Amino acid sequence: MIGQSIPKLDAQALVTGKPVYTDDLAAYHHALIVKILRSPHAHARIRSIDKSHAEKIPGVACILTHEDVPHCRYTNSGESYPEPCPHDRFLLEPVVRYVGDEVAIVAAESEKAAARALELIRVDYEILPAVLDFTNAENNPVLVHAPNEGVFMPDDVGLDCAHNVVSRHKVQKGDLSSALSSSDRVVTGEFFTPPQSHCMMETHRSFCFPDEFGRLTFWTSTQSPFHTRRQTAAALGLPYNRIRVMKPRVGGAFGGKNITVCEPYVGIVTLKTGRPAKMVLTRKETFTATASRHEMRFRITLGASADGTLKAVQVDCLNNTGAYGEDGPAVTMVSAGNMLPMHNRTDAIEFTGTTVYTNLLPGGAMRGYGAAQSTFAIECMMDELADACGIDPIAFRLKNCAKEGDTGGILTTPIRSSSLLRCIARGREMIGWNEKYPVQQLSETRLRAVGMAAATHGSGVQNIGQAAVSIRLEEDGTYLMRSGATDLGTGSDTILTQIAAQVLNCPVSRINTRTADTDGPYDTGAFASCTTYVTGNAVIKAAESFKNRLFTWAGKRMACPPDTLVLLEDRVAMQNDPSRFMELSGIGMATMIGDNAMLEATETYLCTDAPNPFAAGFAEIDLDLETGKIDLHQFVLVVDCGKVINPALARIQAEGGVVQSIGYALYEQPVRDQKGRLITDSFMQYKIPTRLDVRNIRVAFEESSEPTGPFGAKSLGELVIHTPAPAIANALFHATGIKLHELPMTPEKVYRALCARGLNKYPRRVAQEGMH
Amino acid sequence: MFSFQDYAAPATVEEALALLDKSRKNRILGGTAWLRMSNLKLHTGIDLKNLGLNSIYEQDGALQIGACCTLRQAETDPLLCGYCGGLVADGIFNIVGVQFRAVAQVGASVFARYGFSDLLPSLLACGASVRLAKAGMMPLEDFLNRPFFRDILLEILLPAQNGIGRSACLRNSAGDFALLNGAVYLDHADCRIAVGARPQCAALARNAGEFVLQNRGSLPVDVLAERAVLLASEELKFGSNMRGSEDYRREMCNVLMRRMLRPLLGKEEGH
Repeated sequence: MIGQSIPKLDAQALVTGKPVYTDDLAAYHHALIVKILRSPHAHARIRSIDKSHAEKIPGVACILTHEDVPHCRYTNSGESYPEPCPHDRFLLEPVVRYVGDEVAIVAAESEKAAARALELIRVDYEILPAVLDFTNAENNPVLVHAPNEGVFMPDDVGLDCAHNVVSRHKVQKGDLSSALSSSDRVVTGEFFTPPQSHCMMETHRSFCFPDEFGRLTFWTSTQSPFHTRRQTAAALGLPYNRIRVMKPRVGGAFGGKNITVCEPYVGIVTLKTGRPAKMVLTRKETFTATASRHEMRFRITLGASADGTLKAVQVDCLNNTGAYGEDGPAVTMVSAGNMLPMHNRTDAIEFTGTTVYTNLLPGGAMRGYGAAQSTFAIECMMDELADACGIDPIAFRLKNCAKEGDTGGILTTPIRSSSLLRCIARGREMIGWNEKYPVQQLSETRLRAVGMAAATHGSGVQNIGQAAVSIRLEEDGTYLMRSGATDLGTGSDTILTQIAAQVLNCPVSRINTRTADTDGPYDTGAFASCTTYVTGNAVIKAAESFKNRLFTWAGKRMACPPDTLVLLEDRVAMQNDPSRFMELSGIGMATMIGDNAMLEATETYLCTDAPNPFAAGFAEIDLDLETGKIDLHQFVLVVDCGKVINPALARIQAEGGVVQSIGYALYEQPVRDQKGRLITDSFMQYKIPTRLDVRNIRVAFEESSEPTGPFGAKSLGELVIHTPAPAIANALFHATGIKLHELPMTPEKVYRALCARGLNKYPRRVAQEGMH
Repeated sequence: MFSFQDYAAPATVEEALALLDKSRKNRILGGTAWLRMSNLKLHTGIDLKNLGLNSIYEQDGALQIGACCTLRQAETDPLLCGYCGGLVADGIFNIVGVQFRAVAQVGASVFARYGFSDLLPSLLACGASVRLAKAGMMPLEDFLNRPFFRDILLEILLPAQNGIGRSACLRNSAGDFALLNGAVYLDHADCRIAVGARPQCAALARNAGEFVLQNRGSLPVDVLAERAVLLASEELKFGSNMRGSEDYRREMCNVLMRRMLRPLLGKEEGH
């Protein structure tokens, strides 16, 4: 089973259009349509709301303002528990803090009625000054959240509302100033990484109905049913056991659905009206009123000795978490924690990070979670440092990168597996680095160049990531496996079934896998690249535990010691004498009747290590010197995710991550107007790459074996988004010497940089001289 | 998303005009690709599908393109592909994607004078004319310069001529709007240089075209091209928007126009 490219178990249903998504399931009920009235201002106080005209629209079931809803502090982030997030939200309140912030909830019988009602709600705003520049947020006299109003963090990491600061973070090893002063070469750079939108195919939506026991039951497009339940309970002031959350098929998330964005709003409508309610965000709302990747600034100084040994790494990070804190503090921590391990061999490290509030769209979890941003910045600096030392960038990385066996320093998990050196060697060969580095001239106006980057990440959240799995023998001798894992279209249901099938020594067809229901086993959800590693380990633990129970039960009836038995596809047999066996169907039936204990095992796995996967990415670009346009000719990614459980699904993950990073690097430019409104609020304006842009992406795997991982597996989901942006920037650097420290690298930005270096090929002066 | 209360598919141009004149909230429905991005609440949507405006045909060497032809039709039509070196088809295939081009109509791109239109520069460079239901026939350039007026575009006419043309564009990414586009047409008697997505709507660079006509043969091709495009970038106005700044557009005008003009001039000279 392991290493097989088994097609996704839900593939047929998905491609034949079966009604298995949230909005499909809502169609069976006569649900009220819920829409949100949103603030047009970045920062304002609501003086009054007049809903009287809106309430008269036929079909309107209810309109709720801050005067009609519970006043309970919560956070909407689903990132683990206890939450490293400020509880700074109310369901609705008389202050709005970004353009798009919720003002009122409308529920109506039809879209049309709901839309009409929204138009008729009159709000009197007192517009307040807004903090729109995150570099000016700290100590700004304008405060996004007033202190003394009950904003708190369960685990305080430097929350200071009076200065617009959400957290401070520091990581340190060695003596930085002496390492820097003894460095022969020192390079410095400042980087700005923009927000990025997830652009998942299915926008945010949630559907709620009261079940026969009066429990609020949700079908919702979420990454974490258990966290969703907790945040929703907090927002509505309800006990957990009055809420059930289930996740159906999901059309992509990439971190964007790890927030409880819709559930409290449909929940409160169902509570107030007793009726089913659903909310489907428009694409515009998904762009402007959910979350986007944290915008960050990095100031980096690196030092090395003349022979290219990295000695000093200094990184200062400023993180714009927007109007609500959510994932801000954790993202700041992870921008260090999932990037610095690569450079742990250096003598000294100092990382300082500050997370600040602004009156902008909140930052939220997005694939890479801070490490995508910090890896971009530091991998560009590594090339600049290699250049300053006069050393080939690959040689520089081979010399300094973390290696298998490394431990100590800033590592919280020892590196027990790494094939990074093989990844680099293989990628180098696949792209043809030796023939192409640094640059070739294709014509008078076109250059072709190569660049590379190396990256790491984590697998799960150390000491926090947790998964429980149950495995039960059914009456017919097949298995039912239940877990809380959250398949977002990633295929994790399939992967977990493969892992179970491997331990149970049977084909996947004998296992029914049910996931992502708060009435089932606990799981932290799909984020931090944890499902294969954490829930996969829980599957193995549960399957082994199940086998023990099975062999104990069967051993008694077959009169032989349990450790002489083996589990085959449809039977338990003696290892040395297969003619002595009991069929599973017989066992299954027997254990459902009478006094016999049903054969079921439930085990929990806590992620005590978060082993590092590794990747090397190589970009080959064409550069038009007259226009500044970069065309990506090909991209090669070689991945060490430990053991590859399902190569086809792993490949898709890798390709998808590469495409998102290419978009980040070259095309995706969020634009805000002077008043803080996001104007790139559609695919017409916010450009994600098409097939014509990304052309040739080649993925290869160099397996290693992680001793703590399920069959040796680590993670893959986020790692794959780290290398393309810096590899492309490095290719540009090799072609032209240009250090573009701001994304995206649009033609105009590159053109300006070319002009500044006199590399722009079109000499205006020549033509002008000949004119008169 | 736009909405409308009533739908009409009139059988004659006169009926269609009457409906259009009836209310300012009545509007012609083309492919509605652009209309869908708006929140307009219309009264009557007027579909021209029964007016027989969806074909491309030739008459005495001139080409007539019905306003309801889709971009995809235009792009793949053999007559249009063979016209002046495929100049018009050349400008179309960069637009978004095939599915989109199968819906969007030629008439809408022209009548609405979209700044980002990839069709208008080639049509201007061809010396196209338009035929409108009320205002009759007029050169496309005149139509674009007139203040907006309500009417129905019926056909676009491309004159009989046998020169060669090229179009070009610059886009930040495939499928995006052009941040600059243009087209050049050249024969023994005419040189037309058109630049669009400035971000303003396409316009002819008349001085540049004149300069080429007066100086070809007497200046080396390289110098002729360089100076002509410089004139073009100086006589036309550019502006800034999300996709590019005014300065960048002006400088890219030099690059794009030269890349089109230089080979055309060279071909002429037999280089």
